[in-house]
Amino acid sequence: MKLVYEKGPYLKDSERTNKIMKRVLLALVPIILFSFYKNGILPFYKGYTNIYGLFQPLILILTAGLTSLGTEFLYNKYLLKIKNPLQGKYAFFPGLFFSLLMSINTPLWMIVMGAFFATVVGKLLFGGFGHNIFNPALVGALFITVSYGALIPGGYLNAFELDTITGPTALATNYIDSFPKVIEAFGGIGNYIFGFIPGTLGETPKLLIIMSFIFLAVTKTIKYLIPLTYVGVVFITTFVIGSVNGLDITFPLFQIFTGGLLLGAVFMATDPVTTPTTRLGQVLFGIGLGLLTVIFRFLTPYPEGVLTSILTMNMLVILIDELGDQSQRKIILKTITLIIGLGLIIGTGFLIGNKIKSPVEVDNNYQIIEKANQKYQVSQKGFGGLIKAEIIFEKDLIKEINIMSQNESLWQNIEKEDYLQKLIDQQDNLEALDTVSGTTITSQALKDLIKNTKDDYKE
Amino acid sequence: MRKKISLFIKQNPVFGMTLGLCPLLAITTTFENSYLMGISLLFILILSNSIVSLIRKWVPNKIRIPIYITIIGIFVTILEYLLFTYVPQLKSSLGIYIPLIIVNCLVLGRALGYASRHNLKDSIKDALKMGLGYTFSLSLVGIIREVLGSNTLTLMENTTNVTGYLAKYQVFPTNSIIPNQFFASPAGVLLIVGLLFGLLNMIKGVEEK
Amino acid sequence: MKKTITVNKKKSLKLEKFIKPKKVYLPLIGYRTECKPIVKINDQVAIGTLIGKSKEPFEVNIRSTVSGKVIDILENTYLNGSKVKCLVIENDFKETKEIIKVKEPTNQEEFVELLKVYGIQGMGGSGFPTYLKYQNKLKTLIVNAIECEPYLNADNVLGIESASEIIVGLEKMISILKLKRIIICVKEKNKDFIKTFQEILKDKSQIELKVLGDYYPLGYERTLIKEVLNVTYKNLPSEKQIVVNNLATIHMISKALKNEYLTTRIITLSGDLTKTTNYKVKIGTLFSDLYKIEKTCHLIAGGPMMGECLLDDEVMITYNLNGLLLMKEISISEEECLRCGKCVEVCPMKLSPVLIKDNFHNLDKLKALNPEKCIECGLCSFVCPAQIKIRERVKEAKELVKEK
Repeated sequence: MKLVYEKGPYLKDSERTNKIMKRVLLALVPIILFSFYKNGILPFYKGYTNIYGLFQPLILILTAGLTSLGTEFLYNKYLLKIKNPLQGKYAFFPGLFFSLLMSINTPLWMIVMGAFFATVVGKLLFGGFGHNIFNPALVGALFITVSYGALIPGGYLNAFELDTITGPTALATNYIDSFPKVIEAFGGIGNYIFGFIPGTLGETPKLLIIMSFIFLAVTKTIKYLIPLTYVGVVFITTFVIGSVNGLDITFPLFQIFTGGLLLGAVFMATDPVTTPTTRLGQVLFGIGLGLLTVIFRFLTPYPEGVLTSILTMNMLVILIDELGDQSQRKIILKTITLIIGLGLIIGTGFLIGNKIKSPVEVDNNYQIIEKANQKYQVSQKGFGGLIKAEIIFEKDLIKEINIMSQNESLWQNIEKEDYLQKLIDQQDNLEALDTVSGTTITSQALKDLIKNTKDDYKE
Repeated sequence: MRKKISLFIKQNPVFGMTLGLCPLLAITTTFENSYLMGISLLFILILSNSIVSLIRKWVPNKIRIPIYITIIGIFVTILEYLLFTYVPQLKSSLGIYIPLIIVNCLVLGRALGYASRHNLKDSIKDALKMGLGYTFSLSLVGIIREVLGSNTLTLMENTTNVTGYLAKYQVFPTNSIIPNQFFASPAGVLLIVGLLFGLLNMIKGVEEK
Repeated sequence: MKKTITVNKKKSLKLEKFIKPKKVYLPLIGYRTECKPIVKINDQVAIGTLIGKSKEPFEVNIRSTVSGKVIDILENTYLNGSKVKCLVIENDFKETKEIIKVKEPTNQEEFVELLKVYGIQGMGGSGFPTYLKYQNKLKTLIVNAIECEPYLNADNVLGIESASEIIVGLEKMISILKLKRIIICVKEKNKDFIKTFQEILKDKSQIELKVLGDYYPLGYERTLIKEVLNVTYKNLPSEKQIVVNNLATIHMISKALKNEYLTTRIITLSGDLTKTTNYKVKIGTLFSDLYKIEKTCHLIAGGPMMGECLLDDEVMITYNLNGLLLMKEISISEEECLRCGKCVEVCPMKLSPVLIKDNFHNLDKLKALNPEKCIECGLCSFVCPAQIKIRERVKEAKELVKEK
């Protein structure tokens, strides 16, 4: 008989870290397979791409995962000199999630660079697993978007969609009147929910994401309060905005199913390391995320708010957790916080609703900066921001258009088609001129620019 | 050898003493701006250290900060007028950071911490050391940022009308990886400075307390 | 969040008797009190003879549980692992009883005197002197037969065996203390206990049986009162005129009201490595005389969640020991904290162990997290997916906060 000493408790629950990770991976598999189908198999089958294009989605995802795995391995082995460098902590997760945020047309070197940056700056420099403040995949995605955003050819459209979809892209949906047109352009609401619309690799299959969420919530793998509050707050706020502007429930439903909201809410905003641990903290986190996303979507020219709102709230997690912990033992703090939260949600809804309500006249988007003799300096609201141009008249016709600044994501398409020259040639018959494919809003903005300037000149 | 480098890093005003980080984060978009800023600061440092050191015995302790700031202010104003009259292009690039040298913690810090307690010769030596160290740090960050951010290396562009030379080179052949918009932005410089701090700390070796 | 701990072990109601030990070891300590022996070696004692007492800080009276001769005073293992001084009595198997001179109580003061004289202490594990709980005006008595720790079964068996005796005692207590209500709480798994008591309590108006779910740690005083009566208190339940006592303690009180000194108790021997058996043992028996351990294992006094791991099997079975477990060796390798928040969800005292673990460097923040409220139930370590020994960290934090 030998008695051994060990500190208790002597029973252990069955949940383990690697089981949690395996389940998250399992939940991602249908999304990856769908992405492979929509972006790889479908264009190949219709004859738009070659064999490389067939496997391109899987290649991108695999490269990202392997890069991040390799980086962590080398970092741990040679810099920190840890005995077993990988320690089964699923080092490829930052890369994997990062690749789901990129579009199919991303060049391979960009994926490698992004995954490297995500792993090193987003995770390893902070101290490795469990010590990072920011979600590493989002750090990498932000880096790539800021550095090289304009370089991705064709935006989010894969080869098949480039040919077939001619309406404005889904991301230009903040204009309240245009959303039914957008749904039509994609072939109806069914396509929208099932995921056959343009988007990044992971964000399109909304129904599959919802099913994965139910799986993960029932097995208690993720912090399910966060996606519920996040999507709920976005729904309520956009509902208030919609009802202030006379729209029915389809508007908030549409807002939820647009863009990377569902993917971000279910997989990015529930990363256990970078989110609050207390229950009230998770609810506050979700409320903050929802409000920030709605503000970013409606009040700023940038079309997608999910990435930046999650990163912003990641910064505030420590404070939120303190508040959440104190309110667990002081119930009055909890009720006050929730009431303030609810007030903020409704208040933001009304404020934004009323702000957008002011008639979106053409004049508001168009502004004359300087006017002298035959030269105009004008600005027109485009897709990614203001387009500033210098227009030179000769006699009564526009002779030259010099673009001073623009922030359009697909400007290269405009240049490829020599659209500016076409505008000058057809300046009196702009309605007959087609828009450049993939840049509907930009082309329309340029057309409006010419028209408004001409109208002003005639006066 | 390692000890010498370590000492150099320890005495560097930016990476060893974390003084004067403001212009570091704002100015270093091009290499030229960085070294011009560094030289301006060196100039101010020498002058202010000398005067502060000369009058140190007669300055009452309670009002020494306003007096030193006034002295620094006089020299910065002189520099500002000289610089912007003869090289007006600098107004758009260095712009507001020349007047801000008045409250740059490096200048004030050395005045309070060293020049007010040492004689003239030592103060001038210290000013030279600090100023050159600062110029070195700024230039380092400037080179990295400019090469990565806009794929150029500017040795002389804004001061062309004075010297007559234009030296702006493209470093790498045109490709899509570099120029990287991120490093030209403020987020990028914070990252570069952070990584440099880490790298230099690693070389210096962390001291046991 | 209510957490249920499930263990695949059949609970047997088998009761074996081991009430004739050759020697009996009685520790000379009370609750945080050291007692002085008042008999010497070679003195003759009978069941109920006073052998040790103390007045400060609490009044403790220790009485002999067998008749025989005092043969030694030495140190032996107590159930918390430490060595304490104890009196060794050689059993002469005659079971001679000494009459304890105390007035039969008719009001609260005399009841408290009875508890003091008999030296009754909490038999659910704490060993708290019971008389302290009855010094204020009381309206409700909760009889705690929950036994929320897995593997343990002693109170269940005691209830089934001595139900009528306990009820008689409780009725006496109602008239002596002028209680309004008595609630006997048990978890729904103990079906035989429930059946036995429902039969007996059919026509009793002031005593009721409450069946609760199998949650851990429901047996803890504060959570039990909140669950049964929906009442919260600041420091002691007597603030709200409530008193909670373990079932075995009530049994001992019932016997004392009949002027009998209880000298045995039921303990459960269980664990991964042995079948569940309940023993009725004489207080003072050494565990090594009761059972021989053959394998390499952990020997744990108490339950698997809050029990103490012992290093020798010569532990004395005292009034407050309710179970001994033989558990397989565990070896845990801690991983990085996932910050999943499961420890925060399960904590019955509403603390955040994950935040406490991360704030050791900042004493002010640590104080604001209230680690002193921890009851050391062990649920946080139980649920942690990264197998971090988080309860120990909170215990360390408790010490840090106490010092300043």
